[in-house]
Amino acid sequence: MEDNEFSTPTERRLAEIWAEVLRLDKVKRDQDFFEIGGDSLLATTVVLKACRVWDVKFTVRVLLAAPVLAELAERIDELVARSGRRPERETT
Amino acid sequence: MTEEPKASVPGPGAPTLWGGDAETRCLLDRLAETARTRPDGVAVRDGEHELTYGLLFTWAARIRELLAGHGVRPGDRVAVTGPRGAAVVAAMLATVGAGATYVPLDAAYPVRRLEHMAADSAARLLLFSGDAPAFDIGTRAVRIPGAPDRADARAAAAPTRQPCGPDVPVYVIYTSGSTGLPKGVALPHRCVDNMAAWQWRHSVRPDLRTAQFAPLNFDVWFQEVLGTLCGGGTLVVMPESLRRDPIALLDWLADHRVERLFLPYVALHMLAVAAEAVESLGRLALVEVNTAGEQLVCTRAVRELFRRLPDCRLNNHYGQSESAMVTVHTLTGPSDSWPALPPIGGPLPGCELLVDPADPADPSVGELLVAGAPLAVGYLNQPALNAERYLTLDEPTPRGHRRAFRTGDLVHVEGDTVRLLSRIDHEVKIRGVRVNPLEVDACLLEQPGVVEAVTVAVDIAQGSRQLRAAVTSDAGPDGFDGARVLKALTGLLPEQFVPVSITVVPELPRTPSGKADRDAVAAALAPPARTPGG
Repeated sequence: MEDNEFSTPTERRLAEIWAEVLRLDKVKRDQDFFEIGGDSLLATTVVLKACRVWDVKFTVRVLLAAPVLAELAERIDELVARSGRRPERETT
Repeated sequence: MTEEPKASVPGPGAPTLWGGDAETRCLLDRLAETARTRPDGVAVRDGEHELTYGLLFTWAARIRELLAGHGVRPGDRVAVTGPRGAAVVAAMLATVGAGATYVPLDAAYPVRRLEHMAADSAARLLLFSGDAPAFDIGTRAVRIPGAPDRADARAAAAPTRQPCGPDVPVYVIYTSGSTGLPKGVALPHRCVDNMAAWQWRHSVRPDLRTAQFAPLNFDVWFQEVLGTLCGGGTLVVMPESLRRDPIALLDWLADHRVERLFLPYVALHMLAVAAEAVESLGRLALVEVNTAGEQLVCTRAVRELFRRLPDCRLNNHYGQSESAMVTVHTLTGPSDSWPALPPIGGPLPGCELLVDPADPADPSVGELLVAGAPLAVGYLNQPALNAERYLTLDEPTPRGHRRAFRTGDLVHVEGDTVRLLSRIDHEVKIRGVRVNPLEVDACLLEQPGVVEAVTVAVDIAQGSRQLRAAVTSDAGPDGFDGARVLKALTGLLPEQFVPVSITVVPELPRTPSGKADRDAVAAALAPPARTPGG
């Protein structure tokens, strides 16, 4: 995965989680979770991993409403921001 | 085609199991007693209503009058659609109380499927709640009247005026067929009365607060609803949005102090995975979880869930649309002593199990046959299929039964307990829903450009099984639009039946006899082996 394909570190880390759960080599920022093999059970796994990685609490509904990787990454950043911590900044 | 040999099971030495005498009291009788003895107990709660037994049965009596006013007579079929909730429960009670047969239509199904179900069942009337139905069933559609404000004790205490009979069909539900359209199966009082009575007696308490989780067109819906109402418990209708959200479901179960839960194995596994992320399960009131649908696997997450819920037992249920609730195996005590692959257990009262041995040398292994109370009347409008699956036996069984249902499940009988081994046909379970891949193939073949189609199930992770399809096409290498074909399938099939992907192949792998080799297709479409620690 080339770093410049992602806009934020959250996107890059989330893509790694998706690739692991969906057993894919590569996931792009504009891909829809349910169009690349995701189902509601795998969605639960992704959400639980994301809750752990970013130390926030959200449910599968968030992924169902934002199934594209970049959208979900943005939601996660919002949740992190709301929880009082600052999202990671891109470091280049 | 070779003629099916006339069945003469059980063969010499083949085991048979018997669950004891069936309950023969009509469930309407039992419901009348519940309504009489606890009129003020809460029967059902959904997003809109909290109805006592008195109100629910008053409501059902009103709907029954409405049915009579529309000319519905005993033996007619009445289709019912709408969101899962109190209105549908009342409509079912009214229909069954009128001596008619209840045909649930899940509005989430594609229109073509619903129209087929309505036409095939020859429903006399359609009752609906919520939005007016988006499908045309060629009969009158009538809105279910609103819930009553006050209970009428006399109306509530008489849920029927019809004499009940064991052969009177209670409901018709539809299950996956091989032709591209589902097949209906009718279940009589003999089966449903026995199942409901067994359910409330077998549970840790008859009057458990129970989640209504199952979709309308599932046999488990009747187990939840009738098992709870016959036992005097409370049904709490789960919001549909939680079906795909086990994380939110955990909170909901706690908030509503749900004591009994029925759910397919895959949903149980995911609930257990979600529970691992929760620090305390102290708010959960669960005392009984019932799972069914496919082989139960006591995964690490499932064991951990029950280790943290020491007062909760796990029942492994087995049955199918064609013979509702056949066996049960109860798991109690420390969950770390539970086997990884628990058996399906022994037969319910009224149920006799037989084995059609695969190899005469070992009569304990073979296809499971069910006789006695669980059996459906049969498939609707399918005489050939009825002859194939509902056998007429040459000789009566040890319990005197002359009819048996071929389950298609290969089993091993060990003493008085039964273990599932595999399917005899191609049927698979996707998220607890029975799917015949041949039905998906049939719908794929209707699509332009598709010459041949093979749909297979592949396992992505524990509890996550997906359908994937391979097709050959005459549309040329770039002419095949997989996305469009998938979209077309969503208009024909329920969501669980729609493959996640369609792969165009130059030719399908073949077995030596020239048939499409489904196992080879499955191997080719499976994801690469997971790397250790992944």
